[in-house]
Amino acid sequence: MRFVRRAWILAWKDLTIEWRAKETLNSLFFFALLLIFLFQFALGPDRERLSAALPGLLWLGFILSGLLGLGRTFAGERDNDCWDGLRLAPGEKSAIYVGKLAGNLLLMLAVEAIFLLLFGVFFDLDLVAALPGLALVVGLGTLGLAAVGTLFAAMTAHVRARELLFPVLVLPVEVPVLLGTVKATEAVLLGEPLGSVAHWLKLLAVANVIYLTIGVLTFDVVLDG
Amino acid sequence: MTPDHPATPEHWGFVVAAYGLAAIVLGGYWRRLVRLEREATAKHDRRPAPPGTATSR
Amino acid sequence: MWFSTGSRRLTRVLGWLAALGLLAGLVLALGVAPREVSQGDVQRIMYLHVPSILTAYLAFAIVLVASLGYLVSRRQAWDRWAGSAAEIGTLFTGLTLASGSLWGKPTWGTWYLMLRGMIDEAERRAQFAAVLGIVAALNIPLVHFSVLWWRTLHQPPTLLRPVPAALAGIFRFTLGVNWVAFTLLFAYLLAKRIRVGRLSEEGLP
Repeated sequence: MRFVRRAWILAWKDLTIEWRAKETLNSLFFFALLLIFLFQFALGPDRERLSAALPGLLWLGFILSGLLGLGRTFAGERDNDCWDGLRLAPGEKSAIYVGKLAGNLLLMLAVEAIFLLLFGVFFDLDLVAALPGLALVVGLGTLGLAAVGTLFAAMTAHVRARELLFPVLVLPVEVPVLLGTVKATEAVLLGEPLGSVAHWLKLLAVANVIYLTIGVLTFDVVLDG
Repeated sequence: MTPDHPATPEHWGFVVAAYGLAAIVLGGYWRRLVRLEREATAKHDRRPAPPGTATSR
Repeated sequence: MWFSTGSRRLTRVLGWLAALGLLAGLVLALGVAPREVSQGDVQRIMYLHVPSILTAYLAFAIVLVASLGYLVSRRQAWDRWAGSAAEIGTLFTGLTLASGSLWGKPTWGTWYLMLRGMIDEAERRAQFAAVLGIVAALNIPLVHFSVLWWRTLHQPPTLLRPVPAALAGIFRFTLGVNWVAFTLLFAYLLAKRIRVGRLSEEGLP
């Protein structure tokens, strides 16, 4: 219970800062908008080609915006010299991981919801029918992205060239998550039942369990480094 | 056609290229290791050995 | 020092055994083994490809164990094992680039080594590399299955498919000899790499 409280306090702190400054949210919103314009220009008016590329484009947008947000997970602590405060916080260090992860997850899901809405408007998608399946797939994929991203963000927080190193470290790990989510999103948007992609969903679930376990167990090592 | 799906079975070129490349890569790495070992051993021996230990040559 | 006499001789023996094995494997793969009926001579690349990828799997299994060992004991020797095994594992995954397009896999080691190269302080490098090594190693089965499933919709992954039981004895024997030879070569290179790391004191780059 105290573990959950500690994690929640940290997530609440981060979300409050974000809510007041809207630093990340604003830039990610405009980033999403720009990406959608870019996609439209790049693919042209051909509907058929568009719908074939849509799941990939959607996840490309999620990942690019996600990486931008995740890379800044510890920016506040780093820039304001609060890193030691974080390290010296009482209790288990993994609560910090869970708190940061929860904050990241909420922020990413908010951006992804906006992104989906824009996608639906610009590309004329029927999102309502696909929504339950889409929510499951996006939730699983985002968790996989955030679990690794939060851990690696702490790792690269004090490494030189971290802006470059962070995506280079995260993306190769996310290969299974990306393949799984793109395939599952494709099926969901085509109106197929979730059972047809059950093996991908299981893979995503297993990946999330592995990433979360490693994150929780190794975070005190990463934070001390 | 990708190399692993030949249209015709006459693909000795690919085989020789793959084995040749492997030989160059592995041989190059081995030579680098031997060179590094020689350098490291030389540097190691130049330092005075702590009492009670033999030198490594 | 203890490693300078006994284990150096052992390393040399390993090296000769590996060289002999590789020679025998090469003769078997290119000369003795007959042409495979459906794929033709290009199938001979499999004798290089499969042992390479199996050796790479072995290397990353060692990275996993050594990384866990480091986090539990904080002994520098474990870190040297992890870094050395990752370097050689990357080398062996690189070999499969020439023989099969298993994209995604050659990156395993490169980014692990990249992180090592970017952190100067030995202890922090060892800690972060251990965490990354665990993530990377446990991720390998996930990458393997996802790439397999993703590819099977387009084309059967011929070279990765397990050897059919009906495959004639000579194919399996050739593959087995090459596998043993590659494992010996790996052990030899690993022993040498660890020794270099130990001699150069500052640890691995």
